[in-house]
Amino acid sequence: MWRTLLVKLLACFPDKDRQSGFSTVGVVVAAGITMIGLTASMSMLDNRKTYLEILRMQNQTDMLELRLSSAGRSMSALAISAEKAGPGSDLYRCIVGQQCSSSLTFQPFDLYNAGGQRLSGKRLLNGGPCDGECPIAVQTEFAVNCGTGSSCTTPAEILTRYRVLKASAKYFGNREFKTRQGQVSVATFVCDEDEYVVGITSDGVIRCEKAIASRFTASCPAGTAAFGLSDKGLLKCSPVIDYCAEPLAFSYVLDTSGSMKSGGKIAAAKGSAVGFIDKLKNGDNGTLTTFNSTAKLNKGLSGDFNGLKSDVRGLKAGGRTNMSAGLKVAGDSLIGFKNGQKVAVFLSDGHHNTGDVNPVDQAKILKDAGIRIFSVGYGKSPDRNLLMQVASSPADYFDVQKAGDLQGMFNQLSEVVCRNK
Amino acid sequence: MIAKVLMSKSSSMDSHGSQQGFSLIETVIALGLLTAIAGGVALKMDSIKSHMEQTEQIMALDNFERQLIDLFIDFETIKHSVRFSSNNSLKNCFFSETSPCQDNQRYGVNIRLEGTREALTGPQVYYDRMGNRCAAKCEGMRVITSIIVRCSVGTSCPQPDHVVVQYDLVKTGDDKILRQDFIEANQFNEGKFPNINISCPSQDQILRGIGIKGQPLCVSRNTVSFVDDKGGKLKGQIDVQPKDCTAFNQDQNKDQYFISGISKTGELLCGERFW
Repeated sequence: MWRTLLVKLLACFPDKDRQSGFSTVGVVVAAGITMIGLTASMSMLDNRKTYLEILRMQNQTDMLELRLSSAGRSMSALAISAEKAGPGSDLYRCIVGQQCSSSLTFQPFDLYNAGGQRLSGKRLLNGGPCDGECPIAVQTEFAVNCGTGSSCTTPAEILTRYRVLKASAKYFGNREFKTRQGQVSVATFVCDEDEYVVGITSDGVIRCEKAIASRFTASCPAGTAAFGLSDKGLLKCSPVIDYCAEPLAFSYVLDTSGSMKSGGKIAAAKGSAVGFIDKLKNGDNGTLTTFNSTAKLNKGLSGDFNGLKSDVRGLKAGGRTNMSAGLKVAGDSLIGFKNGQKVAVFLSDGHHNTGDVNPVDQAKILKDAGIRIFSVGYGKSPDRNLLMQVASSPADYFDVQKAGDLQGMFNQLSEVVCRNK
Repeated sequence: MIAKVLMSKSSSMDSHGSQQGFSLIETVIALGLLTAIAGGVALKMDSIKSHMEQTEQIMALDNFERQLIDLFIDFETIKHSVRFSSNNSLKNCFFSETSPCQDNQRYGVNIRLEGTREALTGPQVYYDRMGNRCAAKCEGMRVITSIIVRCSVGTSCPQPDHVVVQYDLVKTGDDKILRQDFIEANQFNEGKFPNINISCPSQDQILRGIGIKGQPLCVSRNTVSFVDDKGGKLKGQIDVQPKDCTAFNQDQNKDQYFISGISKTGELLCGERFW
């Protein structure tokens, strides 16, 4: 219609009136540029308007969330909510009736602010009251925590959980509305959800943090391996030693008390030790200590294995049992030695019955000096409990009841210290 | 469409062998039409701009209100403001142990920032529409504040158990209420508890807060929610009960097996000791 009108309008002017003016191309180009400019400006303004509207929507929802969390943290607001809920509600029974039951199950309720304005239910975007088709709906729930115990007259905290949902698709059109939810607590102080107290600063500020799983990834220090978890969740670690790659400083600490004479025990102890000494490698060193009522260093630390074997073969039994003295002499022969892993085999068939020092305390001195003690409870009635404590770890204690089994124990030891070839 | 009409007119003129282009009158009419359209567009743009200005003002008001809430939630600020009040009943309620507070009493109080004498709210303090303070009376708004004192139990209490701040943002001139809300001042807003001594009753619990009456708020270790490095919640729980590879041992010794790893369900993976 416009096109026809314009043609008719232009036709009203006869050709004779026509004068030279703007060229057709010039007018069309100018009109085109003007239209493009106007369209672009309109589009930019429209975009800016939409952006501001979205921002405003987010701002309003933020404010509503702030009001909800503020009411959830207000004892006054919860007291008003309880009054409004009436005597039939658990919230009323707890806050007004002072009969609270601790429950982690959340119950729906209507939340009011400290001025008695309702915040739950269908609302305008700014949280104001709304009838008919409303843009959003606010759902609120509460839970009571008595702290310790299942019931109380005054709650330790009341938790409020809220959700802000889209209630009208028509209101939002194509715009997205993400559901907002949160949980707040009325308590003197509480860490945010899923956070825990990790410390308190010198001026009394409580620090809370999330439990980040990776922080709980524990590992033993280099050269050690874990063998358990403590009740604090910490790994219990033990050093890993590559005995194959290291020279050995071996000490044989043998009980030569009178009881070793019986049942061929001393003979087996000498024979199996000689067998073990034969497996020592070049670079290793050996020493021999014997103890009965006192202790004696029979052979100092050296690489003279034949001399060592000869000394072992020449041992005789007699006297009482002073384990501490044996450990001390053996320790003195090894402590300070740098060239190799220090290992002591402490063998006894009896009980510590002479000497003032506790063998466990004496053993600790050796262990602290880096000496690994393998203890052997030999025969029918050794002091197993004490010998286990003398050993570097429970795994380093061997129980050998028959003299014939001692060789097996030394074979096992050969495996552990990599001297089995 | 206009361009098409102009083109068709131009073509018809060409067929008569007349000179090229439009006459001055034709051009003026076309430009007139364009101007009318541009005018319409300009009106529309004005409407959009006005809408945008209003939205920006409302958003500025939102931000202003948020700052006010941060201020009103701070109990120390409220206490400081009460000191300047001319109402002795209110001052006694806060600071005198002999004069109790009456439950649900409302007092008009101008709020002052802690350590300052200058009131930030009250009938004589003016803000423009964007929430900027005016030196003198200006168009915009005022913030009228009052304090409601509440007692937990009974109709009176020696100190206020709860302090609620009511604020009304009123339009300068007609005193129309633009915004209104009620905020409870948090007595421990910054979470400062000097000399606090609190712990959970059991070693298997972790502290997560302090209860209404100062009780420890604890959760069992087994219910601790772990999160990954990106903040996502982990579904499984990590059991931190003491554990050993003892199940593998046939004798009384406890460390003949070592832990080679921990499975996703928290089970220990044990390997035979090799050293």
